[in-house]
Parts: sequence; C-alpha cells; structure tokens
Amino acid sequence: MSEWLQKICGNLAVSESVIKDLDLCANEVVANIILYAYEDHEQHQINMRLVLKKNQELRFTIQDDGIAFDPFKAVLSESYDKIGDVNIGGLGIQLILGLANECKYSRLNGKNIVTLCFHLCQAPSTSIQSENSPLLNCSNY
Amino acid sequence: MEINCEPLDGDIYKITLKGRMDIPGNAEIDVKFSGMTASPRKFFIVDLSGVDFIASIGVRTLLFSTKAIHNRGGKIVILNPDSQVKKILLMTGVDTIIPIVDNLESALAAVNQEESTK
Repeated sequence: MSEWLQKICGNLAVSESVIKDLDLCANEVVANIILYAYEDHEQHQINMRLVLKKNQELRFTIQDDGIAFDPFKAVLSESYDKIGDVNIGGLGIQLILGLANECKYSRLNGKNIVTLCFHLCQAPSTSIQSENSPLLNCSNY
Repeated sequence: MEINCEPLDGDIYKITLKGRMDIPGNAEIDVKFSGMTASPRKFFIVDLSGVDFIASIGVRTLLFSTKAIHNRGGKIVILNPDSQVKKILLMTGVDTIIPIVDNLESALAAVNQEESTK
C-alpha cells in the first residue's frame, strides 16, 4: 500500500511531506480495519481510491465491508502527564485527525467509507504540537 | 527493521533502530526492543535517526517500554529522530514523557543528570 501511494503521489507531484502524512493515515485506517472490522475469518476486500481534485485537494477514500464503525467518534487519548497515566489507545485516530485537513465517515450499502482530504495548496502543516490537543478538524457524516 | 544495542559507559544502553516502524516493521523489533529495555540497566538512549516512518504502533512500543523503565526508576531518551518522525512524536505528546534530543552529547547529559540525582 505504501509503495502504491508513493508511486501515485510521485506521478501527481505531491510533496514528500504530504505523501508521508497520507501514508501514515492510510496505515492507521487500514490497521484499524484489519484489527477490528471483521468478526469472521473470511477473506475481505478493502478498496482504496486516491483522487487529486482541480482545487489541489488530494482525496483518499477507504471502503470496507466490516461492521459499522465510525473511527472519528472513538474516544481520543487523554493527555498523559505522568507515565502511569498513559492511555495508549486512540493514538492512530489522534494522528489522522491531526494530519488530514478533513476527515469524513459514512456508512453506505453495508460499507464503511472513510474519506481523508489533504489540501495541497496550503503551507505544510504546522500542527506540530507538544500537547495532546490534536486539531479537531473532523466532521462526522 | 533493524535493531542494535550498544552498552555505553555507566548504566547506559544505546539502542539503534532502523527502518519503518509500521505494523510489519514494528513486529520485527517489538519483542527484542522490549527485552533490551527490560535489562538490568536503567538508562536507555534510543537512536531513531535511521527510522523514516513511525505509525501509532511504533509509538505504543516506545511508550510501553518507557512505562516499564520508569517503573524501575530508569530513564529513556530519544536521540535524533528525523523531521517527520519527530512531528509524530510531538503530535502524540511523547515528548512530554520521553525527552527528545538532537545529539549524543545531549542524550548523555540528560541521562547523567538523571543519574546524578539518584
């Protein structure tokens, strides 16, 4: 998947920084699907689509036929001031919310559809934060 | 992924990681990393300069080991992560738990400062 993203984004002249952000988000979403979306042991298909819109919006869509799950309604990790307080769950979602400009979830025809958008015309993300307050730029659908 | 461990003077181990800390990469080093950080030594410098990608599973590996090290009264420092990896560590708040430094001298100073307070 990462090689596929690198190749396509390279052809679209997407910056290395955005490619890495997209790669990370894709890894997190697919990992969640593989780990939690299926209650059987059958083969399933995860479909991915990457589109560069005319307005320089890179739109990445991931579709699976697992159980209905809106990842953006998952509880985010609470801040951890002390090591004993570390709550390690939710880090992946926290990263997606911080890296993508828009995050959408929908359930259609028995399928989960996660759409992540990256605005290429903007300056590279300056959302480097030393505190655990990810950018809550997520709109749930 | 590759993982190497080098004992330094004092009670310090330097662990060097190379590769992508995604699910398959992390699976290759997770057990070894946990084992190394569970050693009797208390102080660890983790060199991430050779890691060009870290996913949440990699962050989890660092945090779990850190918790074990801190419970033994030890300390862990992250050395020289690349810019993208550092961005992820900051976004997840890892820097509030594990100091991140840019060179070995600073890493040793951080660890020695900890030792001198014992």
